[in-house]
Amino acid sequence: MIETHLSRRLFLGGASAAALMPGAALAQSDGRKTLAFAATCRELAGFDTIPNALVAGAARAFPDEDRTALAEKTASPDLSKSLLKTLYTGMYSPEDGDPTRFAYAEALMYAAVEDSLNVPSYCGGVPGYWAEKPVSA
Amino acid sequence: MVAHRAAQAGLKVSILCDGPQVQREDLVDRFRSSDPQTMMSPYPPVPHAPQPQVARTDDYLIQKGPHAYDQQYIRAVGGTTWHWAAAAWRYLPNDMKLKSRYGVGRDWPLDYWDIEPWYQAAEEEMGVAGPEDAPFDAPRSAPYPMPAAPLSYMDQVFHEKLTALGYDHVSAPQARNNQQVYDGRPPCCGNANCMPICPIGAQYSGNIAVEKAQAAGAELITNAVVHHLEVGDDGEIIAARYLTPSREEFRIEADRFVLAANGIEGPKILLMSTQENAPEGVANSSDMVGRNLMDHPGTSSSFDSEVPLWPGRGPNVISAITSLRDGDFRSEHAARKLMILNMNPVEGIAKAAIDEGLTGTELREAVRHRTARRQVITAFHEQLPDPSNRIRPSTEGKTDRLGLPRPEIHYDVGDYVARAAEDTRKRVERIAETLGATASSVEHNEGYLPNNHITGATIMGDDPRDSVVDADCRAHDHPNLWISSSSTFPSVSSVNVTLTIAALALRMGEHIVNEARP
Ligand SMILES: Cc1cc2nc3c(=O)[nH]c(=O)nc-3n(C[C@H](O)[C@H](O)[C@H](O)COP(=O)(O)OP(=O)(O)OC[C@H]3O[C@@H](n4cnc5c(N)ncnc54)[C@H](O)[C@@H]3O)c2cc1C
Ligand code: SF4
Repeated sequence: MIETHLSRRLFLGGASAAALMPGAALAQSDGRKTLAFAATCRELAGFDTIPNALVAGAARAFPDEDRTALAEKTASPDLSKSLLKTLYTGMYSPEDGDPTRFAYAEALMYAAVEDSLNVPSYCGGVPGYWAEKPVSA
Repeated sequence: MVAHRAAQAGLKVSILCDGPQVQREDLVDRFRSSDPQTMMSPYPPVPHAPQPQVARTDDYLIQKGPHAYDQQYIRAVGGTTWHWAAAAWRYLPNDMKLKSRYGVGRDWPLDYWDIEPWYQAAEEEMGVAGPEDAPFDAPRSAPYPMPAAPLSYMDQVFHEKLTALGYDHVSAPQARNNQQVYDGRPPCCGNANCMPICPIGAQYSGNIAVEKAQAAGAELITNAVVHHLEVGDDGEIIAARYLTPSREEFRIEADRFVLAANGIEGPKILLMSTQENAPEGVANSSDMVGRNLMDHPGTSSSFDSEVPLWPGRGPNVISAITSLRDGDFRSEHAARKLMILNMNPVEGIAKAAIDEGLTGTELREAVRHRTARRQVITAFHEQLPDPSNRIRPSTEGKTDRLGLPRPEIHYDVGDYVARAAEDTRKRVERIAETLGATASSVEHNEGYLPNNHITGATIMGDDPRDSVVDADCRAHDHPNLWISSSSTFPSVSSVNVTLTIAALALRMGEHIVNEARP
C-alpha cells in the first residue's frame, strides 16, 4: 500500500551505494562498510530504499567509530535511536551539541505519510484539495 | 496601512522600521534549511533589534512572573504577520461592552457600529474569506470579500461530532486567498506552512501594505530603531530619534506621528522617552502606559481519534468553535474560542516512537497510524485588563546591544481565566471521547500558552486620567500622536486581534488625511 506512493523516493534511492560517500575512489573495505551502513539504515528505518541525501548525510554526520558500530550491528540502542532520528528528521542532533540539518523534504517521517500529507512549504495540490477524503483515511 | 492611505492622499510619509527588508523566497529557503524549524527560523537575526523567541524568550524579554508572558514578534519590514495564521475575526458588539454588559473589565469608548465599515474595508484590503451568517460571527453590512474556505476532511468529521454535541463550529474567517486570485496574490494551495512562512503569499502579510505605501510615494528607512519621541512645549511631538545598528543617532521631524511598533516595543518607546515636557514618559500622564497588558492565555490539548483524519492538509487553522464567544457566563469567567489545529504533527510523533524503541516496519507503521489520528484543540481565553500586569523598560539596567533597556514584564493571568480554562479542558475531554479517543490519550498543556495578541498597554478610553489614547487612537496628551496597535484595545475578547488593528488603522488613516487636508 505505502510502496505504491514512493516512486519519487525509489528513483532517488536507486543510485549505487558507493556513490553515497564523498570522494570517488573508495577502498573496497570502505565500500563494503558503506553498503553495510546503508543496509542498517534501511533495516532500522523500515524502508526498502532511502534517498541518497539521507544515507550520505547520516554517514557524514556520525563519527567513524559510530558508523562502524552501526554498519557492524554492534551499536548501542541509543546510537541506533540517534541514527533513526537523523534519518526520520533529516537532521543530526547530537546529545551534547547543536543539531545540523542536511535534508528536509527527503526526511523519512514525510515519506512515511506522503500518500496523505504534503511536506510543509510544498504545494499540496489544487486549491481546496484538502476537502477531499485523504487516500488512506 | 496608515502610511499607505496618507501617501495615497499625497502627504509626505516616512516609515521607520528597526529591521531589514526581507524577501519571501529567502525566507522559504532559510526555513527549509534551518536546523530545528521554529516559528522564527525563516527570519534573519537582527542583532540590533532583538526578536523574542517562544523557546528562549529570556534572551530578551525579562519575565518577572508569576506567569511568563512568552510573546514572540518579528522585527523586519512587514512585522509579525509574516508568520501569522491569518485568522481574521471581528470583535462581537458585546466584546466592546464588557463592563456595561457583564460588569467586568472595561468598555470601549466606541460602539461596534462605529467601526463596522472599517472592518469591511480591512477585510477588502487584506482579502478575507469567511462564512455568511455563521453563529457568533459579528453582524455585517456586506458579504465577506471571498466565500468561506472549504473545511478539510478532518474538520468535516469534527463538524459532524461537534454539531451533535451542540457546538457552533464554523469555517474561520481568514485573510487567505480562497480558490481565487485576490489583489494579485495567488490562491492558497495548501502548502500547510502559513506559520512560519507562506511560500507563495496566498495569505496577507504586513509587507504588502508597506510595498503599497512605497509605491504611493512613502519613503522607507530600514534598520532605524526608534527609541525616543521628543515633546515640544505645546505638548506636540516634534521629532522621533532613532539609532542605526552602529549606534549612530538620527532625528526625524514631522507634523504627525503614528506609533505602530507592536504592543511591547511601542509602550517601551513611550516609557523610554522621559523628558522635561513628559517626565513620566510620552503619553503617560495617566500612568497607564505599559499597564493592562493582556493576551489570550491559551490551552492546548491533544488526543488520538479512533479513525484516521490526517491533520495537516491545507491551511494551519481552518475552523473554530464559536459558541463560547459570548454569553452571561462572562460575568463569571472568560469567553473562549476553540480551534482545531490543522498542522502536520509527524515530527514529534516520529521522535517519540523512536524513543519508545520501535524500529523497522513497526516504526514506520506507528508513525503513519499516529500521525493520521493525532488531534489538537487549542483555545484562546479572554483575559481582563489589570493595571498591575505591565511592561516597562528594565528596572535593573538590563540592556540590548544598542544599550536600550530590555522589556521587563510582570504578568498574572488570574482566576477569571483559570475558571474558564478548567472548563475548556473538560469540554475537550468530552469532544475527544466523541471522536473515539481513549481517556489515556488525552494530554493537556501545563499552565497557559502565549498567543502573541499583545494587548492593552496603551489603553483606549474617554477619560485621560485612566487611559492613554482616545476613541480615535490619538494620545490624550499629544494631539499629533496616534497609536496603531492592539495595545490600544480595552478588551482582548476571545478572537485574534489583527483584523481589528487593521480596521482601526484604516479609520485612523482617514482621520489623519482629513485633518491634514481639510
Ligand atoms: C505565530 C503567530 C501567529 C499569529 N497568528 C495570528 C492570526 O492568525 N490572526 C491574528 O489576528 N493575529 C495573529 N498573530 C498576531 C499578529 O501577528 C499581530 O497581532 C500583528 O502582527 C500585530 O501587528 P503590529 O503591527 O501591531 O505589530 P508587528 O506586526 O509586530 O509589527 C511591528 C513593526 O514595528 C517594527 N518595530 C518594532 N519596534 C520598533 C522600533 N523601536 N523602531 C522601529 N520599528 C520598530 C517591527 O520591525 C515591525 O515591523 C500571530 C502572531 C504570531 C507570532
Ligand atoms: S496553506 Fe499554504 S498556500 Fe495556503 S496560506 Fe498556508 S502556507 Fe500559504
